[in-house]
Amino acid sequence: YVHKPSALLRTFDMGLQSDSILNEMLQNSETMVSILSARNLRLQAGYTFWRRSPSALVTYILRLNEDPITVDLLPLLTQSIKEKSISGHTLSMGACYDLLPTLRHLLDSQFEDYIKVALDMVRTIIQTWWKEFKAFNSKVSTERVASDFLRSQSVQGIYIVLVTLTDKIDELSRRPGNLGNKAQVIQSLLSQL
Amino acid sequence: MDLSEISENTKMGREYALLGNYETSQVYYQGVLQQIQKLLMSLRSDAAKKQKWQRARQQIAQEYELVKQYSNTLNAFKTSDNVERPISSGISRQPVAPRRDDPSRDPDVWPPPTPVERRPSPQYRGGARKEPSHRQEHKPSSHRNPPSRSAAQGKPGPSYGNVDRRGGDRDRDRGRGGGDRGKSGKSDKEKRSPSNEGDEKKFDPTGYDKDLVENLERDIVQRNPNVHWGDIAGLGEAKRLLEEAVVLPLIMPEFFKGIRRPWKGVLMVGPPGTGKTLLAKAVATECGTTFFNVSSSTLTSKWRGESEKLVRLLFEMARFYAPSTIFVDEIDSICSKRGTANEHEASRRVKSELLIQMDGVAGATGVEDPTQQVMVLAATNFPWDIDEALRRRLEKRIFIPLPSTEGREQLLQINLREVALADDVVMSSIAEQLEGYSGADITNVCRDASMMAMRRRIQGLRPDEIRNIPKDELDLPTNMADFQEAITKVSKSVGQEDLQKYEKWMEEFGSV
Repeated sequence: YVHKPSALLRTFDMGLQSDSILNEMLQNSETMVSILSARNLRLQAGYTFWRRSPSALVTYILRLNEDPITVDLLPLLTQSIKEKSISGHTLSMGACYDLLPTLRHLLDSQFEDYIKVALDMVRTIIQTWWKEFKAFNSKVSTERVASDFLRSQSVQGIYIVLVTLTDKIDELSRRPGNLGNKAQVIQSLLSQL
Repeated sequence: MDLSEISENTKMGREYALLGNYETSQVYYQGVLQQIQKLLMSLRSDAAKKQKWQRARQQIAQEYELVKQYSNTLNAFKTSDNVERPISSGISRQPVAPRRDDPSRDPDVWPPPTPVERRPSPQYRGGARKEPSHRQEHKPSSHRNPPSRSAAQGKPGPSYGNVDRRGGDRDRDRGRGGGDRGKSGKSDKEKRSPSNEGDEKKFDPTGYDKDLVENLERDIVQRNPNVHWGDIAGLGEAKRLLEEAVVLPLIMPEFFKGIRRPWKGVLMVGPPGTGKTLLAKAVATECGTTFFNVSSSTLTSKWRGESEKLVRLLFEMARFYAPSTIFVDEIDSICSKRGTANEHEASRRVKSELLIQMDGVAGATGVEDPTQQVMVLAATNFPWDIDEALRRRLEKRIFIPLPSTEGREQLLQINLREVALADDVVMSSIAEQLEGYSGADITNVCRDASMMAMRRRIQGLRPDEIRNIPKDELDLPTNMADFQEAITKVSKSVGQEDLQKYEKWMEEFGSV
């Protein structure tokens, strides 16, 4: 934008500019409204599932497969895992197993917020079922014992996926700032497993 | 008016909304709306332009509305907690339901004590609770208006200042061999005169009875201890049993009849710091019965014979206020084995009175209505010292063990609810390291760990420097290293051989 000396020209230009801004705003506005109403609708539906059970919500999220909605709801699910022993409203291990591919996908995302949310979830999964993973790991080589059959079948699955995540986590932990710190914590947890 | 700013803000608002940062986005939208409003004010003349902008404003407002709606729905997720849980099978999980923010909870379960007249508050939750009709009769006769009352009954109007209740007059008269002991005196005594034993006093009749009664009424827990089932980790079995003994008879009185009558007494046995008293507090909070918290100091007196009367008065009051729960903490101090060499004769009589009251001819069994029952809840660390007759009367003897691994994890979570935790804290790993710690020990560890950050911060500072530290610098999250250090510093408080003693006792006398 070059400053024009003539006052008349400037007002003319201002008018043009204001029109263009206005048009742009209005144009984008329609897209925005449609996006937002679609999201709203989905979230409302998700709410219905959530009231039924967290697992139902996971199924819904997986079927929907839309990153924004997933990211909005993940913190909630993370919280619900964290409170596993206190509340009855919890997420099962199997549901987490189902979520892992989505998390993996989110970790590759370009948005930092998405990665953070996914990292939080991964960390919570590790922390919550720490004992199970530890037990699984210590017995990997020896023959199966009775307690193995009592264990949720998801342990093995989640464990393997977590191991495959290691590379990605390593990569993320080299990033600066908060994100890197979060990844580093997970890195150290994984190394302890 | 800077138009580019408006456009910039709109873009920011939209971007944040798309990225999922709805709160920030809302702020931007609000700004944009205000700016357009201002612009509209300045565009007084240009009608066409004004119309255009007005349309723009409507659009933006619509977007804003949608974002707001979205964010509200998202918040609804967080607060929703409406999964119905069954009362009994889900006790161990019930925790979520009775949290403080739960709207379904009656906030008035135990209102603050009323200074003038003490009576259990009428707002009990237990729906089955009936107001006994005789209570109405008695209500007006608080300790303060007696003469008119006895006069109205056509009695030889004894105007002994403070005589409070009808039955009270009779008893006292009888005690002194006074003339008029009608047949009605007996029936009165049986049910109606719950709290007047005290006035058979040989000492200063003025004010004495009142003291005794008030002493005991002081021990009715009226203020809400605010401990919920959910604040107690593990101990599912104990919680279930207590609900069965206290709550269920109120809910379904017709079931708890005959052989299925509710438990009269529950004894909680266990090493110190495992939550026995906490369980009792939860009973007081959650069960909505009149809760008497009795200790040996309540039931002892320097006057000969008064202790027994206090015991009796206690039970009569409990029956009057039924359904009620009498909680005796450290019951071994009141009712140890009878017949040992160093037992004092007076304490012997207290024990006998306690036994009689719990299960005597006119004791608690006499009451058929399960909603009218009086339950004795006792806790002790020395079950082997307890009198065997009392042991029989405490029909349920449950062991409150050291917390299991899961219990420890829950305990950690409950303790650390309000503490900011660093990301690297793994509860199960800590819980595993706390093997053999009692609940109180674990709380200690948590307290210690959560103060580590503060300690590091204030190390070597002078008091005025400490005072000037900003609050958020003190409130650093507690990390794993803090816990490790705390665990090394706090050792467990219950020994192995003690535990074996409890186990042996439970094997012999337990009744779960």
